[in-house]
Formats: sequence, structure tokens, C-alpha cells
Amino acid sequence: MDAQPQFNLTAALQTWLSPFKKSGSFTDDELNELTSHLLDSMEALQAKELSEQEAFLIATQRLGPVDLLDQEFTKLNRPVLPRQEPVILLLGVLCFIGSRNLFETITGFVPVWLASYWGDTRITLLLDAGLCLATLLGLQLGGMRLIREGHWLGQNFFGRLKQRPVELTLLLGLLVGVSALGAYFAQHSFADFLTMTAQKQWVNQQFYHIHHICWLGFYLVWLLMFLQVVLPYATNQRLFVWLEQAPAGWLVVAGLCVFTCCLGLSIMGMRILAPENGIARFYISAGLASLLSSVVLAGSPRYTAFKRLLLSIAPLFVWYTIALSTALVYEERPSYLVLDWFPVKFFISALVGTLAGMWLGVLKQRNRVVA
Amino acid sequence: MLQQENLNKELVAAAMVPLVLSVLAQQENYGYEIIRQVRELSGGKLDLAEGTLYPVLRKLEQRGLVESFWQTAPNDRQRKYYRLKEQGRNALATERTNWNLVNQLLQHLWMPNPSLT
Repeated sequence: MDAQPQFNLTAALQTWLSPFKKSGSFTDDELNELTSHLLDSMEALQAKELSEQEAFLIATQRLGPVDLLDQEFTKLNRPVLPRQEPVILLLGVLCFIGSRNLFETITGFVPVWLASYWGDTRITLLLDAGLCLATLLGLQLGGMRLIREGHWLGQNFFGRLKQRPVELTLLLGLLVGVSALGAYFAQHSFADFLTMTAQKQWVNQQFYHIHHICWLGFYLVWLLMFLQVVLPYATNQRLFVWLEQAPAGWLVVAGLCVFTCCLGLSIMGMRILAPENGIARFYISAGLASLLSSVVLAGSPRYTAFKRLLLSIAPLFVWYTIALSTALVYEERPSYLVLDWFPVKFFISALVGTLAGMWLGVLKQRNRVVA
Repeated sequence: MLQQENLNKELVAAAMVPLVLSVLAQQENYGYEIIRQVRELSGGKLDLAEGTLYPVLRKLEQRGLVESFWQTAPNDRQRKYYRLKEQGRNALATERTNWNLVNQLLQHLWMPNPSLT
């Protein structure tokens, strides 16, 4: 008995909390409340001469298993009251327009400003593309914090919504108005800039393509946010938790989406780095897409490692079949899809990506257990 | 007469809302203490399921019957307290009327009927 390690309450609490956090049906506030209850319960038990460890075990038993609590909480865990839903809808529209204007303002002025420093060089293009991606990332992260009730940004937002909905709506409206003005000027200055680069026959003038692909990214980010908000409403699960248990068909569709997104982004990169020969973008995208898929699926309780490997590569196989069949029908000369060992290189990069993703997934799982 | 150890689950679940509202009507309180008081007052016969109390409290909060706030307890720990709102008092009055009605009805039905043979 003495050989047993000392009972560590903080670690035990963390282990106890982790499945609750993973289930996604509890807000941070509710978890704090349950923890506080557990500690109260333990205190009472310890007053009856029980050890800390015994008290912890009995107190957690009394509180009930995760499944039961999960069931009870998912029944009602709606951050928004039904009558507020129209207001939320309006706010969502305002946020969309506001962020769109903001994005246009930033991506319109920045290339003009960068070009004034770096001129007709690849650095301008790369910096421009980098900034566009950073803006997208900021938008996604900011948006996710906003809709998460536990985060201070979300708490602030929903608290304000509860207490002063009119003020919040007016504030957002003002933001939309001001950013619209910015977007208007940014759009014009960007258009003038494009005309200037065309007239002066710049070598590096792919700004137009970069920005189009960035807009694609912008809408994809909104689509992702939409999924992350709507899915919990429809299935009571967070996106990633849902993905870990989703049927194989849905996973292949999701994998195809990821691959096309990667392809879109790599087209942007390739136009800057190697405008003449951009075939490498397919290999990069295949590797990246299968890496992301296998990382997301790493914690899946439903699929074995081999099935996960197949599921990560299956979307690429589907894509290749579709692409090849259309190429054979419509292209007269031999397609690049069969030349130069394309399929071999394509699927090998996918396999490497999957294996790397699985390895990262194991690390992720280990962190989860340790935490 | 059969003496049961604990009340059945359905009855406890049905009585949950009036019980919680009544405890809160006395003074603002936190989850653990609400359960403890109910257990003590019922002589240990009525045990509210710990995990199910919090969803009920949250539902009451969403319906605007109670409000919650975090407060530091004497032992330096944070606890989430609940306070009855005016709307909650009205709801409690309605509950009281309903439960009294059921009680009176049952009492009446259980009285020995003298007119039979």
C-alpha cells in the first residue's frame, strides 16, 4: 500500500474533467460549477474520516457518469433563448457583411502599400499572399472565440446581447457602415493598381489570382464557421467530435472538400513560386489533405488504424478517378494525370501525408491523456 | 403498511422544480447546499440526483425564474449561487396551488367512506 504514489487531486480532477470537455455539451461555466460541487461533496466526506482519494471516488460516483450528465445537459444546452434567434440571425448577417468589408479593406490597400516598398518583385507577391492568409486565419480564430460561450470574447458578446441588444446591433451597424466606406476606397485603389501593373507590364502581376483565391478562402472560412455552429444545434456534437464518429461516406465527402481547399491554396502558392510548371501542387495538396484527415481522425473510436489510413486516401482516389475520366474524354493530347509517373507520385505523397498525420495524431492523443 | 426506503424516481423528478424553488425562496443558495438541505429535511428519504439538479437549475434560469452569480465562499473557493426572481416567486405560488390541489384530492379519496354498507 505504501508503494502507491501520492494521490494528486489536481491531476485527478483534470482526468475526470477531460471526457466532459471532449463531449462538447458543457460550457466552461458549467464545468466550473460541477467541479465546485465535487469539492464541496469531497469536503463533507473527508469530514467523516475518509481519505482524499476515497472521498474523490465516492463524490464522482455520486455526481453520476459522463453519459448521464451529457444526456441531461444536451437536452437544454442552448446558449440562446428561442425569442432571441431572429436577433442572432440579424447579428450574423451584420458580422458577415462587416467581416467581408474589413477583409476587402485590408486586402485592397495592402498590396498597393507593399508594392510601393518592394516594387515588381516576388517578395511583394509572397507578402501579399501571406497577409491574405493571416487575415483569413485571424477571422476564423476571432469568429470561433466569439461563438464559444466560455471565452471572454464570446461571454462579452452574449452578455451585451442579453443586456443591451439595441446598443450591440447599432455598434455592429456602425462597424458595417464604416468598413463599407473603407472597402469602397480599397476596391478602387486596388483596381487602379491592377491597371498600373498591366500598363507597366510587371513580371510579377498575379495579384488578381491571389485575391480571387483568397476570396474563395473567405467564403470557405464562413462555411466552416457555419458548420461549426449549425452542427452542434443539429447533432449536439462539435464538428471534430462528429467527424471522429461520422460514417465513412461523409468522411470521404469531407476529405474531398479538404483536398479541393488544399488544391486551391497551393495553386496560389504555385503561381508565385513556379508559374511555368505547377504540377507539384497536386502532390503537395495530396500530402497536406491526407495529413489533415488522419490527424482529425486520430482520436476516432470507430475506426481502426488501417481503416483510418484507407479513409484518408479514399477521397484522393475518388478525385483522381473523376479527374482522369473527364481528362480522357475532353483532352486530345495525353493528360498530365498519366504522364511522368503522376499517379505513383500522387499516391505516395498521400501515403506519406497520412502516415505523418497518424504519427502527429498519436502525439495529440498522448497529450490529451497526459492533460 | 409497506415502508419504502426512498421515494421513486418519477415522483422525485416531478417534485424537483417546486423543491428547488422553495429552497431558494428561503435564501439564495448553491447546488450542493440545495441537495443537502432537501436530504436533511426529508430525513434522508428524498435524495435529488446530483447530476440532474444542474440542468434543472439552468432550465429555471433560462425561463427567467432564477438568476445566478459566482461568489467567493468563506473557504476561498468560488461557488455559483442562485437567487429567486420575482417571476420565480409567481411560479412557486402556482406550483403550490397545484400541489395543494393534488394533495387535497388524494386525502379526500383516501378517507374511509362511511356510506358503504
